[in-house]
Amino acid sequence: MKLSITHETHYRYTTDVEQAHHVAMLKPLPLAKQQVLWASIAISPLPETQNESLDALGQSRLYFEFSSAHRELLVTARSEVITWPLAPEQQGKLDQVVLPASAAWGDVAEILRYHPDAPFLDAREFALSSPLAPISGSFADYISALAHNHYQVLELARALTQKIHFEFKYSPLATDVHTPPAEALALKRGVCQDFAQVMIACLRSLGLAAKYVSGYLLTQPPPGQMRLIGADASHAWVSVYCPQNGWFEFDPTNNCLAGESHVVVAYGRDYSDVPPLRGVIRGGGAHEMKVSVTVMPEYG
Amino acid sequence: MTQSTLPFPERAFQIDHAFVNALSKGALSGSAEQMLLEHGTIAPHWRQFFEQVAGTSRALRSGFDSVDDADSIESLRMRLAEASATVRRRVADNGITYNVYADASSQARPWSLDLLPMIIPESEWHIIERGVLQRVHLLNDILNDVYGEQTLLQRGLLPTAIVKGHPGFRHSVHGIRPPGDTHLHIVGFDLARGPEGQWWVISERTDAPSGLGYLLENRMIVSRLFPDAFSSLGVERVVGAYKALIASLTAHSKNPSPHIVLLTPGPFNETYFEHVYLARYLGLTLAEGGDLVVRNERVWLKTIKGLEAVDVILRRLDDDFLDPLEFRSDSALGVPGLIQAYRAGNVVLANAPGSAWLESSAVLAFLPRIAQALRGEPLLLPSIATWWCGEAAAMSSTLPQLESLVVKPTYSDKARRFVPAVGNEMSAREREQWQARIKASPENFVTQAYLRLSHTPTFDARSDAGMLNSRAAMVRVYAVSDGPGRWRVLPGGLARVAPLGKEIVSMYRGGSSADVWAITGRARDEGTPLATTLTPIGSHRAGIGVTSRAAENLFWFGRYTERLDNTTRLARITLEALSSNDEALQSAQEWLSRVAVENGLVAKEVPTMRQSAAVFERALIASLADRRAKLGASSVAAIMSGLQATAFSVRERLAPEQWTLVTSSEQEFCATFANKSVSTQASQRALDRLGQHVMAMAGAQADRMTRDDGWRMLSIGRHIERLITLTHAIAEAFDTGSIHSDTGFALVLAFFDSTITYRSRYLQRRDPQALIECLVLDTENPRSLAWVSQTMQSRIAKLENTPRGELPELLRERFLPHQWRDRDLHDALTRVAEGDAEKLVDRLRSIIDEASGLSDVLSQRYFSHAEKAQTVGIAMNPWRD
Repeated sequence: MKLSITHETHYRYTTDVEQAHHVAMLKPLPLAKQQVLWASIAISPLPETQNESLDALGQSRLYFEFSSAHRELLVTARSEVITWPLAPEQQGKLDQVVLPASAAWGDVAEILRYHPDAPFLDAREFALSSPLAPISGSFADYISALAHNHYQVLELARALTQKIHFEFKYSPLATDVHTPPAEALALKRGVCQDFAQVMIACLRSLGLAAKYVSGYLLTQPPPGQMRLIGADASHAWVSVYCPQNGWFEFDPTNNCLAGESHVVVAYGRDYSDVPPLRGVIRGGGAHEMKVSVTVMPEYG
Repeated sequence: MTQSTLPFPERAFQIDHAFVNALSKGALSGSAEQMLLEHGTIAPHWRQFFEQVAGTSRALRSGFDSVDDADSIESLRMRLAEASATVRRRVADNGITYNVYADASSQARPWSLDLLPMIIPESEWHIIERGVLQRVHLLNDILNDVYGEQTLLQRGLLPTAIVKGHPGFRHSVHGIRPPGDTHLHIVGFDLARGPEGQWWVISERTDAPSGLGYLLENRMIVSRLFPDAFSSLGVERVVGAYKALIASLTAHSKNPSPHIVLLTPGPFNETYFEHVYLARYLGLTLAEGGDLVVRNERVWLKTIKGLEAVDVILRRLDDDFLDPLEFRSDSALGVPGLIQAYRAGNVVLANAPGSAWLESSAVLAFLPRIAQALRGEPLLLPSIATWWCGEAAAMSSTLPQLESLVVKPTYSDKARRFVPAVGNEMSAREREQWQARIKASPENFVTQAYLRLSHTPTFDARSDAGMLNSRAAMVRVYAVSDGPGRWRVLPGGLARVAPLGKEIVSMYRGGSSADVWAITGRARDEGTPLATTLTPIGSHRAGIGVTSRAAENLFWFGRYTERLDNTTRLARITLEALSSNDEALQSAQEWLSRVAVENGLVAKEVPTMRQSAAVFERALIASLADRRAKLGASSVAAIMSGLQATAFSVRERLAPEQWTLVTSSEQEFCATFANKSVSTQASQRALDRLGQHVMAMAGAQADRMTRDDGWRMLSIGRHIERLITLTHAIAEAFDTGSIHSDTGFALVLAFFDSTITYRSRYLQRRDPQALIECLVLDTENPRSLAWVSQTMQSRIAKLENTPRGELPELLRERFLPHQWRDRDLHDALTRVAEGDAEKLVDRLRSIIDEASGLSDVLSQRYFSHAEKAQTVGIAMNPWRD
């Protein structure tokens, strides 16, 4: 499916911002499962300096800075991406999805541990604590019953996705970008970022590897399909490591696998590695931020 | 060996075992002897040391013809006790401190330095030097690998968990190559000497190691006390290593004559003293994060001349705090965009960010294999036996032996200063709890062999006669970069000495320090005499402006000095007037009350002198020593607090005596008021003493400081303050009419400190016009308002961004007393003669507005007024909470 994406971030400040340094991670990532036709970022007012580079994972990061006073900032990221659909049996709600047979989660955790002579795995670093998805007892408790009942790693991930989906209330005002996942777990509330980070922390507390995925979601439903939540912001979900099958992407917010409606921007250990737009500003007083994301399918 | 020139026999007594026993009063035993003694006899280097010291002490006691052993030992003991007192005095004089708790309220603690150096003989130093040199190469290779190809991870030589799982691994600098591939410019190695004389590496400090300033200061103090021993033993100087470091930083910069700054977390950091000291010694600009700004991916220093490019940052700020945009977003100490400037290759960061994870004890367990893999050689200097429990085999083999081990965290938490858990100090139950904790999250723990530290001789001066003692010690040795791909080991170190009878060494927990004398067999620069003063080895690059922050602090340092001067004098003359009990005092009461309130001597609410002279006097005395201004007045001690705070922030620009004067006069003054009730006489005496001290402070500011823009700011601050305070006093004298009484007239002259000047010109005449001439219009009297405003104008005109010969805009429109000789003034003075002072008072009061306005304009233009930074869109730092 060909998708056209517009992501606008609009900051308004009550007083002049004298100085600002920002990093944007807003361009979709070229991948086997998605082709990026083009991507651009427009910034207004025009920054004095900007510099795009790739991070260690080959993901685009755009640095820009202002040293002259401004009262608002508008960052508009546009792109066109072609995504491919999942196999038919993997589409739709998770309970109907047919997952491939996968390794026992205990075995996966074991190979993710360090042994001096065992082969190296890239996935190892995603099994470790990170700032916003730390390993701790409360996550281990949350997943323990599922871990007992589910043997295969992908089945466990499916069960955890469903558990979070049904037990957590989608509630944009309950949390913000700073909310640690332990708090979101205690509240059983939050947005896609919280759901993803809780899920990641749970998997890591069993020794499994999981990545945070920052991206977009098509919410304009194709004819005959249901409408998905998340139209007004960028989206986040979880990628789970499985030795035989590679990485599998689960969306706890929507109780599905990430398919052709999902566009990946960046992978990280958690949100703090890949915030779409961050900055440190001097001045500005109180600020007000509006984000609008539009993902449009282009048929034909 | 240097011979004493006095006619004493070379060896009046034997430096032997018996001697040591006598000097130590038999207190030495066991491990102390390992250091001091070899095969039952005193080690040659220690023998030589004591012989030299004893020789000097005999020379000092000239007049004795024969010296028997007991006498010699007694004289040596006296000499050491004296030297020990000198050490304490120098530490205090130099203001060397170590803040135990890094916050504003706690007092900095004096640095603790032992008299005796720790002497490392040549045979042992060579092993240390080769081993440390190999390690710094190895550590730098490791950093190049993990921030590059990561073959060490891929080959299983380093576990991912202790590299990428460590909060000190910086994902965002992966792929950045620092200039010369040099990540590490300063590395500290904590070494311990085992019972068999074998040296072990206990830990490695790679992020922003502390101690190079303290080391230098220790060396300055201790080597000067034992110059003969120092040179006869062939102790190598350390200055070459500092020079090499600066040369190396220069070589790593794209700019052939780079501007290097030392980045400090600021005055509340526990080791701030040494940041100041090092910056001064190395000739670097001392900068806090707020002094720097990133523009166009370059780092700039904010000075009162504008922005100055910065090429190299020697950082004493942990990398965590360097850049709120990329690292800790709640860091107020860092510089937003700094990592981008580093990424763009526009600044050398020493050390490069991202090395903190290397400090984990867990790394030590993997170094032997890495040394083989990367360099094809074994480690020359062994680490203390270390196991990372994340490796299943390591955990299962060490858990049963916990009793003989020490447990440390893999992901050390600097802020909490984890105390290693010592296995043999645990109860059986505690040991089981530890085993359970380790099993539950093995990656989080490291076990290490427990090493009984070797002792070093110390001289305990606290017992009256003083005696030789011994304490457990660890040595921090430094490797510094010496050009791309090269390092050298600083010949010497910082010994950290445990409290008597304790085995754990930590400055934080009340330990002490000692100078480390390395005998290298190649003592360099022997031709030059031992430095007696600290001469900077580098020099401030010409033309670097004063930082805006320093300018602001200097300005306020000047204002507080002046305020202290005026307030002290005012308090003195007020108390004097009150005790004179003169009928005539009545005519000046109103003036005294108003001026006392204006200058913070008493709170507004206090009854006026007219209402109750006794209450007024008690309130005034009570407020004098009220540091926190709790009584509503901001009197002498409160001003001294402000003075201290501003002086502290600009300590790098003050002579040590200036700082000592500020702190000691405050202590002395407040000590007087420690008792509940203090007599008027005692208060006056204290004020008199303080007045002398303030004069000395002013003298030091005038005579001991370089005439640069920083000094000009200080001077401008003083003059603005003087202008405001004195103008108010004279205006009130006319407004209240007190000027027309003998007492009132005399008090104004006294407050202006111009009694003698006036009397010499006008004798005993009480003439308000003459007074105006002398105190307001005269441009020769340094206490007159015209002189003050004229001097201030010339200072402002000399500030460096003022075009030559041009009156700065900020002065042009100000109508100050030295420009006053106009008809209008003549008119005002005529009216005074006719008994109407209103016009003159208005004119005088306008000076206060002009001067305050000037202060605001200066502050707008020159001082940093960056609002607090705020972060948007970034998560804070929950990490492991």
